[in-house]
Amino acid sequence: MKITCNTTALTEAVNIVQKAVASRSTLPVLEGILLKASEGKVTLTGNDLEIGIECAIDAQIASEGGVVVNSSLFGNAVRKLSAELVLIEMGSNNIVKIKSGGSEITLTGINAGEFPEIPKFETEYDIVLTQREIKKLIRHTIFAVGTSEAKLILTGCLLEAAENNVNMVAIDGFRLALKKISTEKASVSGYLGDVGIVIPSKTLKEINNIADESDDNVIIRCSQKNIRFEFGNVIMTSRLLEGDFIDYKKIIPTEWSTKVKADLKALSDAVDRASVVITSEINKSPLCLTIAENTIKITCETSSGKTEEFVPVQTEGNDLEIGFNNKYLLDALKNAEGEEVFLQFTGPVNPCLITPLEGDSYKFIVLPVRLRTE
Amino acid sequence: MQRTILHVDVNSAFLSWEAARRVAAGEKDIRLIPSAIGGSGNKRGSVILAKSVLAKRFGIKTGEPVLMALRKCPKLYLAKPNFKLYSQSSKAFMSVCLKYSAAVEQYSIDECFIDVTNASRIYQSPFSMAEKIKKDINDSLGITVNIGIGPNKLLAKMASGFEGPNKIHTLFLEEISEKLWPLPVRALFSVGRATAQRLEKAFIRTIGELAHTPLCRVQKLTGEKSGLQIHNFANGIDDEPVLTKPKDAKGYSISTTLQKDVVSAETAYEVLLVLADSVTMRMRADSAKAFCVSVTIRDNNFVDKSRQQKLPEPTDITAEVYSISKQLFSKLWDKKTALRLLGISLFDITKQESAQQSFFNDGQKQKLRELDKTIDDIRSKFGADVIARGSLLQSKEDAEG
Repeated sequence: MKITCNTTALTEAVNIVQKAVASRSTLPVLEGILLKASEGKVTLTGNDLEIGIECAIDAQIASEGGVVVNSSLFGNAVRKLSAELVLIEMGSNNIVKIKSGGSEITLTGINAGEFPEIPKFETEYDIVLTQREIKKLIRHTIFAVGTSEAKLILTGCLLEAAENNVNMVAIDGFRLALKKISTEKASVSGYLGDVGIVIPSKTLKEINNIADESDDNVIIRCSQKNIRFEFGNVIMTSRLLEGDFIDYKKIIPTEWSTKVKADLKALSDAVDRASVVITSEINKSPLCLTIAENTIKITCETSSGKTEEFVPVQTEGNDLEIGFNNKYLLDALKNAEGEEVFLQFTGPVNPCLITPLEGDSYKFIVLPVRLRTE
Repeated sequence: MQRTILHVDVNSAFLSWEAARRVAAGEKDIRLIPSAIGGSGNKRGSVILAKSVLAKRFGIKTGEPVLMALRKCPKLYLAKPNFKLYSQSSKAFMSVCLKYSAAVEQYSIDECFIDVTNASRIYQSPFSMAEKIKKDINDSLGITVNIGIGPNKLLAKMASGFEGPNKIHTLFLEEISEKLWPLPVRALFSVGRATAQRLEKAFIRTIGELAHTPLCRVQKLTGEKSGLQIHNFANGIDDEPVLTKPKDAKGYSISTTLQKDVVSAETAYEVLLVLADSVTMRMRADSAKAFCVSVTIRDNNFVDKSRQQKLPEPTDITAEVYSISKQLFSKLWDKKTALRLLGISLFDITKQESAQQSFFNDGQKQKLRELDKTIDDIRSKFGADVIARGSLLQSKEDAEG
């Protein structure tokens, strides 16, 4: 293999594929990046066996071929180059020479044949979204994804799509986040079943990091076990989580006994301020919300101090006193959109549903903390 | 105002208390022969818990396996541990100390700090007061103590650790260059083996050298917080007050050296269940819950590995701690190395009564909590051994059968 390419493009590609390189592995090849040169392109691949990322850049190919180089070594070397072009050449015994300007770096590579192949699969179901839309779906749900390995399926987000609507749902046991995108552009083809697919949160975090805020397309191709995101010069392949996601529709409350219409920013800021006395996980008390007569009073008391906030709102139905984990409530409010929101309650130990005033572009459910006085 | 603190430390506590009990019952004094407190020698988990002065001459050390001690001194007289006696003796020891000041902090089962800043006006000097306390303890309890006198807890404790038994030492600020600084760094309170090695590698070998090393260098070697602490200690600085009420526990931990190496996950799980059961019971007795669970394993080369997990909600439930411990263990263990010790630690302790509602298993959690409470109640009434998990009974039968 012998190629010449642009140093900046190569550095960007390395930064992208490194997200799928195992940082520590018993197999040295998994700590590497595969460089493969053919047909005017050099493709870089990282694969930690859960996620595989391929990124292709233009290159002048003097001779085709491939080799695996240690990711952190290669990355450190390439990032420090200052000349515009870089030449990469593989000699005998997988010795890789990197020449750029007056620099020459020689690394020991690994035979390309040892690199694990990224699973190829027949796609059963395709979704097209813009990069901005996929980022939005991810950002507004991933905060509520589960972290407990005891419920592995909840460490991922559920993706559902029908016609021009795409839903993403995350549940960690204490809250739920649902984000819906419906656009002209969102197009879905094929059929994967009624239950949707569950994408590991790590995969989604990396997509969110790599994708930009543009209207360029992301093509999402799915099978029962794998998913592939194709956008720009990047292809990311990931396995899916197997198992049945919770039937989340059943836990979305349909009735209410107390309903609040609130200015989103005013409420969110008040919750944030009321939380200042919560200095750590250990020194934590629930926020107490007292809802009555067009006001929400928020109080919190810990060993560090006491806070009290009054937020004018519009209330309907019963008065209510209810406790919340400040983080869970704040996460939901920060990810809500629009100037105003509805909060619906059915009692002090039942879920709180947060929705926009109109439409159904998001639904957040936060479960309360039972207050001691009850 | 300059404080005066005493640190009172019972000499070879477990052995002294056992000996005092025997002397009171008309038996011979085992302090006068090479003797030690330790479990039976055929159990490899048994270690020397305390030893007599004569046993020390044979090179026997506290904490070493009984088998090794017997090799050094085959005639060593071994007395079995008796924790009920220690607990009673400890209370009696504390009540004598409390006669001399209200500000007494029990630091462990056999040592305490006494703040005598005010009381020392009644006595001629702190030294004469210490002599009186020492004599009182000897007369009423039949045991000897070392007493350290200093301007703070650290120096008092370092002083009581000087030569013993039955001695009083002072360590005031003007004495530290002569009495404290020549000692090796590992002798300094709170400097463990690993820290000592790091310091020694950097040619900081005595407490004096540590005291004169720039703080930033010490912090670079041992970490910011611990660096500041040991640098202060080496310079005789310690502002900690004598606490009359015990501080809330920062964590709860338990570990056990196994009678036979653990070589299968099933056996390890059984041990983890016993440990989880015991450590959560202690935590529940304090109405505390933990946000973090950690598991430690030790192989036969005494290499420790541990792994921890943070929880979104704190727990005190045996079944939850057990289930997390199993997961942590399976990530830690390579499925082949023989293990000699397993341990569980719970930290990030809170006393808040969190009742975060959950989409799942709330009923299940409530049931588990009730189960734990029922078991705790039965044990506190009838003893720890009257009730055990079914899975453990089965394995015991298998082992016996």
